[in-house]
Amino acid sequence: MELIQRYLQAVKFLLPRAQQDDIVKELSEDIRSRMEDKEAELTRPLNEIDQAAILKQYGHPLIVASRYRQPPFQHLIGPVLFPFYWFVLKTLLWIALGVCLLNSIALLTSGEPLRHLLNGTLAFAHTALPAFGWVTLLFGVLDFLEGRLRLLDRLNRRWDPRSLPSLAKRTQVRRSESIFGLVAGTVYIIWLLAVPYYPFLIFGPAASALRLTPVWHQFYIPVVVLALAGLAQSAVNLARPDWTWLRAATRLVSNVVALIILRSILHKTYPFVTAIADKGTTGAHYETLAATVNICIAVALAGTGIGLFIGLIPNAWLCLSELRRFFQGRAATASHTS
Amino acid sequence: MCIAQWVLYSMTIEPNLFENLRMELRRGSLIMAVLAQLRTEQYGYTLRKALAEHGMVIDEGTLYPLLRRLESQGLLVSEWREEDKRNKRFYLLSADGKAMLKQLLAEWKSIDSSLNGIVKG
Repeated sequence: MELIQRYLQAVKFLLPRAQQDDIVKELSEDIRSRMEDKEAELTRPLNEIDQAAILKQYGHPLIVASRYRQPPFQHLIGPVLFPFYWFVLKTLLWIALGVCLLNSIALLTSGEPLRHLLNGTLAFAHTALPAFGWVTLLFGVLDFLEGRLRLLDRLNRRWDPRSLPSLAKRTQVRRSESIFGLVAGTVYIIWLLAVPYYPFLIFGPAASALRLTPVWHQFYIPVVVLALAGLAQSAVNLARPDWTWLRAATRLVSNVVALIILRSILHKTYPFVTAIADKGTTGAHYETLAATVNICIAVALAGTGIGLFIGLIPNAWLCLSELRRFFQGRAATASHTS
Repeated sequence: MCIAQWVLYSMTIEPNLFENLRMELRRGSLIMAVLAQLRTEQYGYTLRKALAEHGMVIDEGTLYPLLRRLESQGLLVSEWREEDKRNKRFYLLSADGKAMLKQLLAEWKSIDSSLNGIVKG
C-alpha cells in the first residue's frame, strides 16, 4: 500500500490547499475500493505491479489534480483578455525592437565598430524580457479581477449596440495630399539643386559674407535622394491611392534615414558655416555673424532631430497597421480559397 | 472504393476529432446521468459502477470533480459516513437538484425530438 500513499502524496501536493485533505480522502477510498474488487477478481492480494497498473488507469498526478482546479485559477490570462494582452505585448515588443535596431544603426553609421551593432541588438533582450514580464503580470491581475468582480458581465449589462464605432472607411491616400506632396516636393528639389549655385537661397543677403563648410557636400546626395523618394511616393500614390502601405513605408524609411543623416551632421559638421575671409572690421563682423548663425543652425537641427525621433512612433505605428491589414487580407483570401 | 474513401477520410479528418466531438456530446448527458442516478444515495465508487452498468462509463478523474462542482452549485448534498469500517462520502440529489433534473430532462427530450426531426429531414 506504500505505492498508493506515494501516489496520493503526489496528487495532494498539486491540489488547491483548502480542498487537499477532502479530495485525497475520497480518492484514497475510491482507489482502495477498486483494489479490493480487483483482489476479489484475482482471488489473491495485489502485488506492486497490479497496484501500479490500477494507478496508471487513474492517470498522472498532474492530470488528476488539474481536473479539480476551477476557474479563475486555471489560466493566468483567460480568453476574454487574451486578445488585448497579445496586442499590447506585440506592440511593445515591436517598438522595443525598432528602438534597439535604430540605436544599433546609429552607432554603426557614426563609425562605431560592428561589436556595438551586436550589443545594441542584444539590448533588445534586456528590454523585451521585463516588458513581457510586466505586461503579463498586469494582465494576469486584470484577469483575476475580471473573474472575481465579473467586470465583463457588468459591461455586457450596460452595453448599448448603438455605441459601436461607425464603419471604418476604406483607407486611401487623398488625391489632394498626393498633389500637394508633388508640388511641394518639386519646389524643394529645385531649391536643393539650385542651392550650390545660388547661396543666396540659403543665406539671403548674408550670402556674400557666409558659406557652408565643405563637409556638407557628403550629405548633399543623400538629402536629394530622400527628397526624390518622397516625390516618387506622391506620384505613385496619385495613380494608386489604395497603396497606403507605400506612404507608410516611405515615411518610416525617410524618417529613419533622416535621423541617421542628422546624427552624422551633428557629429561631424561643426562649424556649419564659415565667414568669407576679409580683413579689417568687416571681417570681424562676419565672424560674429557666422558664430550666431552656427548656434541657430545647431538649435534648429537639434529641434528637427527631436521632432523626427517623436515622429518615429506614429510612422512605425502606421507601418504596423499596414502590415496587420496585409496579413489579415492574406488570411481572408486563403480562407476563401480553401 | 471504400478503402480509397477511408484513406481520404483519414488524411483530411483530424485523428482525435471524433473522440473530441464524442466527449463534447457526452458532457451534458453525463451531468443528467449523475443527477438521475443520485436520486438514491451513493458514494463515488458505487455510483461509477452503477453508471457503467447502464452503459455510461465515466472515469474517476471526471466523476469526482463533477460531483464537487454539482455540490458547490447546490444540486447535490454530501456527507462523510462510516460503512464497512471505512469512511465514505455519500452523495444525494438535493431539492434544487431534483428541480434541475426535471428541467434538464424536459430540455433533453425537446432536443431529442428536434434532432430526430432534423435528421429525418
